[in-house]
Amino acid sequence: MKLLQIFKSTLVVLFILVFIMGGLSVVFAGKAPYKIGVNLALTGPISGGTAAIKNGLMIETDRINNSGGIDGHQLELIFEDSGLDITKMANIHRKFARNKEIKAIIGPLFSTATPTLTPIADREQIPEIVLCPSSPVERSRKPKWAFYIAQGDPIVAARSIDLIEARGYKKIFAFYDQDPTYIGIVENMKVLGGKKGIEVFLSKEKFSTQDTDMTPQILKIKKQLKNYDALYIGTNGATGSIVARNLITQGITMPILAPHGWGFGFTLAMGKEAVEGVELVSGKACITDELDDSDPQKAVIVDFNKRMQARFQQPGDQLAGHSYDAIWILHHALKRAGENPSRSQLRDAIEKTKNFVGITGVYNYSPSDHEGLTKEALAFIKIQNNKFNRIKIPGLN
Amino acid sequence: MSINYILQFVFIGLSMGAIYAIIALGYTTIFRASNIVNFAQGEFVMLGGLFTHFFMVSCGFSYLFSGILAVIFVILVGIGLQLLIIRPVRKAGVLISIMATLGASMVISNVPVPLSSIPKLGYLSDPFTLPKLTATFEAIEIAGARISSQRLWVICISLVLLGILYYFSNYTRTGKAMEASASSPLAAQLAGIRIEKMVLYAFAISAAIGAIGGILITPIFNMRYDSGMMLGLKGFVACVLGGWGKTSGAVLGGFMLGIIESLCVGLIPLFGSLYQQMWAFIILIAILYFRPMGILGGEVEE
Repeated sequence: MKLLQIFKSTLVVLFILVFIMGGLSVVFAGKAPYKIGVNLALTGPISGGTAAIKNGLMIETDRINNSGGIDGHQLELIFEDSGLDITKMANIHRKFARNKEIKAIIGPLFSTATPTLTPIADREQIPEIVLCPSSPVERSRKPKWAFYIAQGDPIVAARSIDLIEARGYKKIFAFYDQDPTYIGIVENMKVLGGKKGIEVFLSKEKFSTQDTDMTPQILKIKKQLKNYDALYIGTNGATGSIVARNLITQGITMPILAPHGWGFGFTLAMGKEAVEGVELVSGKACITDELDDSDPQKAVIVDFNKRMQARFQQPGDQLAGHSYDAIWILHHALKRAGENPSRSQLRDAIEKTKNFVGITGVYNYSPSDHEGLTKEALAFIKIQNNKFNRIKIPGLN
Repeated sequence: MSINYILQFVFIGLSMGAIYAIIALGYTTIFRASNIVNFAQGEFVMLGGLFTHFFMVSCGFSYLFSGILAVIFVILVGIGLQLLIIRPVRKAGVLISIMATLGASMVISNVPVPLSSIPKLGYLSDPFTLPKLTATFEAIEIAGARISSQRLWVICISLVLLGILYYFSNYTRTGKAMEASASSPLAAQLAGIRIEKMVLYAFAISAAIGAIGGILITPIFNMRYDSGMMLGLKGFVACVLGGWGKTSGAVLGGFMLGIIESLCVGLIPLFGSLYQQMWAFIILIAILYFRPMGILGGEVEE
């Protein structure tokens, strides 16, 4: 009996203590943190890329918090792993959206899932920073709450056409996979090229990102290829390295052009001598050392790479760079939006992002433009000696 | 459409078929000794590549030494699989054992996932490739079709493996004992054959075949920790196509699958290349419908 009473009274005392402590912490420790939900496939086939993004997010969030947060509010990241399952991603998105404390969502990094997730963000009215480029499908929907970090297909296409023009190619054969971004790129190239007298032929033979051998397709297009000046391989660097290898086996040695998905270390590691001589347009993160000192992005990228190297023993790449852009765009917008902004105030503040120098490029969002980048965000690169080397094209850098 | 054009696709099919044949041989070896379909076979292939990659990058060993070590390690994985997972559940029946191999396959293929957060080992979750066996020459030309040197290696080695396995199962005591333990376990036991030991041998051999296959095909495909599933399924289709449980059936099925797949891509306009991966399974359905015992298979046993 006595024991029970002691137990009861201890409980009461404990409760009171907890309440007092809680109250004190609100009064003294300052303000509640701003929570950001991060919806990434931390496990699954793209976990290498998402790990880099997570690292980048952690480094930059710590930096923001160590310098006092946002007007005294700390930033708090809530990571959820989707395992690259679209249903799970949608559930995570809804979960974040219904948690009133969460101000915004970062993610996903998976272009196939983007058209599923941005409507959720729109419906639930939560700002979303998508780490993938916008695609033609997305653009036609004009999402109100989603902002895009990576270079979209129109600017990659425009930059690619610049490269083709500078090289003097007149006829380009585009061999591409079924990812909406790459379809968007080659279709834009066809239109843009048409205006400049460059014929971009879209291959009837296609492949998918998971294919492990493109020899049959290449055999079918082999005869056609002789009539073209260069081959544009619209896919990511991993799949692209297989295409490059198959081309060499078939004895095809025409110039190869490629989009920004090739601007990663794994392209070099897997392509080896097969990707020698490939020219591509890509974000500046893979040629940091060769940027002009006058380039405003140089200092940002160099500093970020140093921080990544120091903490995770590997420098940042284009993907890790997306994390920097996402978190700092949110930081600036939260700052601009004033004390404890509502989600719609935050969205309006993100739309006011002007001349933000990030790693992927210089962002200028507006109510009508949620992609924010121009083609100047992309550099011209040639793969030589198993290394990315910047090529300078007068008048276009 | 010239003969030459078709011939090109046949050659490509042959080289793909050799890959499927190697994987199918692994299935057959285990099936012949234990009646178990080992769905972790694709994982052995993936691990063969992954271990070689690991020894070359992290330990700095030479290609040859890494390859040998990788085969040994995959054999250990195969033995571990049999001892820890198959042996305890084998009494519960063949179906349960097959489910156990499916579970094991999922576990093995996901082991590299958590490694991605470890800086020094994170590369294991990325796609990777290995150097070619012969770097000096790229491809040879036969009747206008070009085949890369690596694919020739795959064709040759798959035929050699077939020869060794054929000799082993038909002309050696252990090989015959292995087969006996599957076709009539009771009689085999009465004849003094230790069945569990035979099944263990079968797992070790099929792990070795898988690992060798993995090392050979990684330079052609890019390998990743989740590649095993697709490769395993293709090998499975090859087995069904050729006839379950026959070494010759596995090889014939493998080559046929490769050629049919390649011809479908080559000859069927538009759809052909877009659905490259799909043809194998359409073929599987057709075979199960019209000839469930496979091309070389005998009567289906009840």
